Amino acid sequence: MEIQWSLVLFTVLAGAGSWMFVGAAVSEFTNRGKEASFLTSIIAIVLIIAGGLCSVTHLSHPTRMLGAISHPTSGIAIEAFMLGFTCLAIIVYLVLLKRSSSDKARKVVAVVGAVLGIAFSFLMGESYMMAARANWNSVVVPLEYAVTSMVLGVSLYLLLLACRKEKEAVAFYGLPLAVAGAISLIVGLVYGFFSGVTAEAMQFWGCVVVLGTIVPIVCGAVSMKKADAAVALMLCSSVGALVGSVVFRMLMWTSGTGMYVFFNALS
Amino acid sequence: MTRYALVVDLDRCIGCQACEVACKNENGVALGEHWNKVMKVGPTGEYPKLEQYYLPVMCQQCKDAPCVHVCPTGASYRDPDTDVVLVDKEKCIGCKYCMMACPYDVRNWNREEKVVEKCTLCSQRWTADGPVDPLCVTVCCGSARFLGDLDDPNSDASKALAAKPQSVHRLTDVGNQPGTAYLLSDKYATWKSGE
Amino acid sequence: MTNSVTRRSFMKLSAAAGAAAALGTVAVSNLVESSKAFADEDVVEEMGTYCRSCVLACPVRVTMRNGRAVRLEGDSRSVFSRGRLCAKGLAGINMLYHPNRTKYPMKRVGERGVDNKWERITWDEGITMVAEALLEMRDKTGRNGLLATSGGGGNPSFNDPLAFRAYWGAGNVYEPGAAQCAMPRDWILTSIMFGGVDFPSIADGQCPDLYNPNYDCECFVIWGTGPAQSGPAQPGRCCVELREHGCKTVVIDPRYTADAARADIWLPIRPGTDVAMGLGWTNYILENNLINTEFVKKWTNLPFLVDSREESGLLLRASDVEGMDTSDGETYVYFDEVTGQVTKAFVLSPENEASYNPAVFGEYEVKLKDGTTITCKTAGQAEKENAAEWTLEKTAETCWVDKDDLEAAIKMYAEATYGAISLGVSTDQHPQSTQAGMVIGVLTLLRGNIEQPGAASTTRPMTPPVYTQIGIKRNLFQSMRPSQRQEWEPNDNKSNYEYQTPQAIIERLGYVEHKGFGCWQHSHIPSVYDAIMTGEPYQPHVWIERSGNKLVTLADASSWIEAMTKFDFISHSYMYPTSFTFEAADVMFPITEWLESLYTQNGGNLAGMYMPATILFEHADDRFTWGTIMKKCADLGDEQAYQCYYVDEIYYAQSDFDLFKECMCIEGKTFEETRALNPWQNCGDEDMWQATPYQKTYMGLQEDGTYIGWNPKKCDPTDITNSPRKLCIYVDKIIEVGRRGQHPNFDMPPVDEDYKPMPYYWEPSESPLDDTEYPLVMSEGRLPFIHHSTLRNIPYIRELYPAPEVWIDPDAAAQRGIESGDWVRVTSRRTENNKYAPEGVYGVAYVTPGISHGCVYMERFWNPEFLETEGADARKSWTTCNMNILTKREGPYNPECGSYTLRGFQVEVTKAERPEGIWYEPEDFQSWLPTPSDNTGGVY
Repeated sequence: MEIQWSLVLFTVLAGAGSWMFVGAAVSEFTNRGKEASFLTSIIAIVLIIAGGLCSVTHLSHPTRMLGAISHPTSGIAIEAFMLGFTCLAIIVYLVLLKRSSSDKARKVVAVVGAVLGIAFSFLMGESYMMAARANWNSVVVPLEYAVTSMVLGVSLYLLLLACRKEKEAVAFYGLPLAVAGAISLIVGLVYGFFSGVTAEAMQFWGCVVVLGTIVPIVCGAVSMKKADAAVALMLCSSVGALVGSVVFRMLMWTSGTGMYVFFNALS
Repeated sequence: MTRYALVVDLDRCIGCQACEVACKNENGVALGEHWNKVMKVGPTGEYPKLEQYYLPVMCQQCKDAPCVHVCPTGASYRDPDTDVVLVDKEKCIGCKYCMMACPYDVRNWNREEKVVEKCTLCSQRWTADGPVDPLCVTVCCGSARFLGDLDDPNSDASKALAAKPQSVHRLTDVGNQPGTAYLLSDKYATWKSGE
Repeated sequence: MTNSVTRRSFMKLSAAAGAAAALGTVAVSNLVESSKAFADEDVVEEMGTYCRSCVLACPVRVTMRNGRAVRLEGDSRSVFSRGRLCAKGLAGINMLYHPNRTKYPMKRVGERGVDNKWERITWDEGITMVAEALLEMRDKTGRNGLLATSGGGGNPSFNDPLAFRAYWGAGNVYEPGAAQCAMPRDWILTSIMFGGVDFPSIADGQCPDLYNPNYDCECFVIWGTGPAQSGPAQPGRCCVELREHGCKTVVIDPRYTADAARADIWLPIRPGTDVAMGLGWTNYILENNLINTEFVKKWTNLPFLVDSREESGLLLRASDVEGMDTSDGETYVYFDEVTGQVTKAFVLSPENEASYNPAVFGEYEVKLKDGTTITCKTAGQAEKENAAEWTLEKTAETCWVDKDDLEAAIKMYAEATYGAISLGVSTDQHPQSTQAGMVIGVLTLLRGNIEQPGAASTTRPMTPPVYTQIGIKRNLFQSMRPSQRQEWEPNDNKSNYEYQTPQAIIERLGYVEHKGFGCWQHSHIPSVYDAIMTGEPYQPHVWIERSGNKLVTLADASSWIEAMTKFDFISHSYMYPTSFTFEAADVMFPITEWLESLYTQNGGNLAGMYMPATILFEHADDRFTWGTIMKKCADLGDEQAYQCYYVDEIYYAQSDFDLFKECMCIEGKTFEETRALNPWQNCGDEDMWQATPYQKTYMGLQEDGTYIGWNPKKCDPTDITNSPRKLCIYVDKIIEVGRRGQHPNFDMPPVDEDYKPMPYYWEPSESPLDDTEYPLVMSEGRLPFIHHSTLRNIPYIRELYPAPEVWIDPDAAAQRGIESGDWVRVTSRRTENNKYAPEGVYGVAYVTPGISHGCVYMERFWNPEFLETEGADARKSWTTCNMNILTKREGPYNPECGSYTLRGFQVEVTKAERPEGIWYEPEDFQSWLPTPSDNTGGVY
């Protein structure tokens, strides 16, 4: 199938934004990098909305999207609702941050937002689970959507912290990043063998695996020791994760042929 | 319950493509676009003992239609009166998920209107008295196409199915339960369009 | 009104005018855009007419909305089409509202083949140009300088040029088909071998009994014809039903067609070897005694003795035999197995048939009146010996088919109680045309498969008409009767005027050598060509052409460009301009599409006429154009034309349209009432099939108590006056046709070499057996969605088939590095030193095992887009993808019918790039979709 770029960008941006907010939520509990939460949340919401706008460019009649109310159980409707809820949670979180309200309320909202974001990153992939397309029809596809978003979101979050010279926080989060990378590596391999895209050596092994997972693992591990190089490391990790995320989605489209090519209407 | 679909007797299909042109005339389908298309399967085998059949494809009127499931706005829907799967173009947002979800690549992207559309069984022509044969059926030179309610044993489609019970084939069912059936006798060719 | 505009800008003008007209006006007879998406007060009507997208004429129901034809469907009452309608018919709406139709007469501005510029003229100006050219020709060199041509591409009547030439008095007529399509089979089978019973060509609308739902036919041999290709709604449908009812089928075709894919046996014959195949079948049937002995003995001429004194193979006459009294007329002789005597043949009756016990095979001594004794073979024996060399092995080897499949196929046919063979156009497109027809006749008659249940050749069921049309004024059926090319007799008129002299008939080009042309009154195309180029024996000067694109249908098309320069005047009548218009025409006349036409039509169980759904432009049914030319010639002082139009009132001019309409009416009904009834059901299904009274044809009794037998007079050009009324398996009659012709009133000069009474095979003049330069054998074919050169400009059709396919087998393709979808160029000896197509012609490869290996198949094609694209080279419309650039106009020709070589010649195929400028993607054809345009005003 032809690559649907608006949807590639939508899921990359919205997924990264969601997971950046997860970083902010975590900082509520670790107290590391907490000062960056406001900025993190702002960037997260900007990314999610930018992603949402990209998805709208995929639609030829976006104004009719209100019709989703009539069929709320479809994958796309759920995505739309999730996007809205996640953004809403982040906004509430931002408001609470500004008003310096109670810790407890803020933490609750942060957790709700993080859970919504994580679910959102998964559900963006879940829409593609269709019996018609065997290469897509596995839970590993939404998982891969979620984990690639995770690595990218976390990397971007740490890049932000590094830029704010919060070296200690970066070093603290180095391990989680490496673990996220490792999870993504495992899910990526499962997806690769499931869908057969392993045959695309450059794209799968080079981009999705090495750049998208090995590089963040290494950057995460190294940053635990070499906090001085945090900016460079997190830049590397972010770029790697971005390439990995994008290329995985490209592969999903190109490998997503149906059982039959009759009208060839999606080419 | 009613379950309208086309049954196509491939023993009788001579690949003349009249159904394609009739469909375009009737529904104003644009150049390069299709609601109905005749595929050629083969020839295969050892020359000169070859075999071949034509496979006309169109919306298969699935019982559990994925297009209806994935449509975010209800533009792909089941007609409450006839249970025919249709597209309400006024509601279509153009997300194309139904096209991705259709196992058979038989939905059309209308480039001018930027909406999805597909075979309607010409149900726009149906009257209060019941279904009217679509143009692809009335013109079919091999008399190979039959419209009917599969749940009604007296419909043309059911009768065609009953006449060749050993020859009934369907496109691969991935849980969607396609309504359209294809009849192909072994003496002419082995069915190659299924699992 | 004369506007000096180019064709292209004319298009734009009319589009603009159309847009203007769309604002607020409602036209009832034109396609005009409406600002309303839909209207409550739509006026919806339905009417009936016939399709003319090919020759089969399926009845059509037309739905009109607000005067616009919006839906076409078949008429389910027809026993032949049963309401089915193919893509060609369904293209009718696209055809009718095509934006590039010629909307009024135009004359050329500039040079033929150089300038594609035209200016509008009035009908009177155009007709006057033609008439003046004819009269100038008459004065300069005589009336025979006329060349009138037509073609099969959706043409309503093949008769018009014949009628015009007949009443004009001299000149030549041809169709690219005729000698290359149907005429050889029609001549040798219908008019000679089968005694007037129609030749078995299912794709030409024959074989009515195969549609009989009683399905008696047990084995149908589909030979060189594609029922599903040529006519999906009638013959295609017919074969589907036959197979569904258990009829076994054999397909003999280089192509694995839709019917081949459903056949019990497919014999992928090498093109050009059909006669060898037929002789192989004949030999097997005779050797294994699979003939229908009773039928052959009683009803065919195989028992008659061949005169051994005659090298030609003439049958012995009773008047030569000692002791035979021929005072009751001349006849043949046979050897009676019971009496042991050579006996005079006689007409059978129920009383005397028991005494007729002829030997079919063997040699017998005959004592002649001059006292000598000669030994004579029976015609059956001669036929047997003629085929003897064609063993299964030799036949299989010659025809490139599997020996076991061949044997199984012959047995399938010969062991069926009721079998049928339909022979298609393929063998007519080859110099062995007549012999191929003859061998099919032999195989049909050896099995007695004529006038039998389920036979391919039967007398058409005749049903008395429910309604009769008036049709009397101005001798409607003289000039405008439905197509029966054989029966033209202009001298049979009310004033006994001699329109056509024997001399004028004899000097038709190529007729003396190829007397089969008498059958359709045509001339031999290569002889016409030679006359044009050399002026010998006389120079054609004025060419009136009515058909699509001669450059796509004539063999060796490139050679005609120079020929066109030799004419003083050329006119072209068609629905839209073609390559021919650009290359040749001085004037173009617009003509009606079939949805606009009004004329007579033969019917099966549905009778009626072509009825206009609408009439869009300032054009006319071309039949009135011929009449208008005749009238103008009369008005300009031509005595014969005056006699024709004003005295004998043969013709209708355009100005007589109202009179014509009146004549088309059912007696006692108005035109509107007639239109509402059209077409009417003459009989129901039951009557239709019961109305095939075999027992009333040849087994029926004449008043004198004898069997009717087989049509003795019409089909007998010989000295036999007391005919025993037999079918001719042994075709001695054509020897006499060659020597004298078939005209009742005068004898033609003889041919140089006698025609031969039995089929014989010769290896094609270009043969794969010794050709290393062009190793592949080329065949043509037919497709279910185009007919001849038509519909290449119809968007819904062209997107199905944007360029000609070149079928090639996997081995030949691999050797040439060709894969399916590759563009290829095809070359033949005709593309050597060819300045129009030096690289050959282009098509798209289809690599398939479904083609006789070692052969290629390419469809005829042209590219109208080159005529319509600003700045394009209009010549490329016929030089790019046109397989008839490859075909062979030069000899050898069929001795009897003059057929040249359109199939079974040698080519090479090479991988190539897609030629520039052709339209190929579906969107390319957008500008051909129906668009609003101005109504230019009616001519009637």
